[in-house]
Amino acid sequence: MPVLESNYNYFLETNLSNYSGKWIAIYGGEIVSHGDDLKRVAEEAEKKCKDKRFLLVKVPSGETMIF
Amino acid sequence: MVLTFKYKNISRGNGTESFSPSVPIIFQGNRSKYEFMALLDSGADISAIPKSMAELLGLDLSGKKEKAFGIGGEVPAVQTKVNIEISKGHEKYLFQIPVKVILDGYEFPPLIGREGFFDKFHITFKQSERRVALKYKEEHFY
Repeated sequence: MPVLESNYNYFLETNLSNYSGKWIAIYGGEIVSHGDDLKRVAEEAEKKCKDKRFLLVKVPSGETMIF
Repeated sequence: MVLTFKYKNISRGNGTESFSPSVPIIFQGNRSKYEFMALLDSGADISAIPKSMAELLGLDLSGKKEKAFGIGGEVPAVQTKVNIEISKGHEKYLFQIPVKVILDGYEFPPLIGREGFFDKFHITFKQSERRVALKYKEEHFY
């Protein structure tokens, strides 16, 4: 399952602020599922992407991150 | 060969922007494998993931519960191992890293800390260029 460059490029180039704080799944140049529950986001993405080569992202919320 | 990844531009709620060293990594557990965007965290002793991600991957969470400490205080955690794959173009590396699974329900992107990862690469954070470069350290046997 090699990394799909197109998913990565979409992540880099897209303003994801509308999904702030959410899990999203990226595939084929679009966000195929999103929500607060990672398992549900992954399950929904699997139904839409049979080769399972989607990219899961936790979109940062508006706050500054300090770990 | 060097794996180079651009920083991700993140819009903050107050109208400012920040840039994060995010890298695509495939995580493989006992049940399944998924690709996630992970943050390289040179300040973290060890990698960390949320419980939801560990459950999705089917990681073994039967280890001893312990506390993990960060700037926000202490949180319950359990340590386990996960197989990861990092690649760019034709270059690909697979190995296993230790990881702390944070059990308090807080959702955060996977954080790649130093143990088991930073010692495998020469990592250069090029903040002004907004990119990070990872050069694999060849293992030599004498």
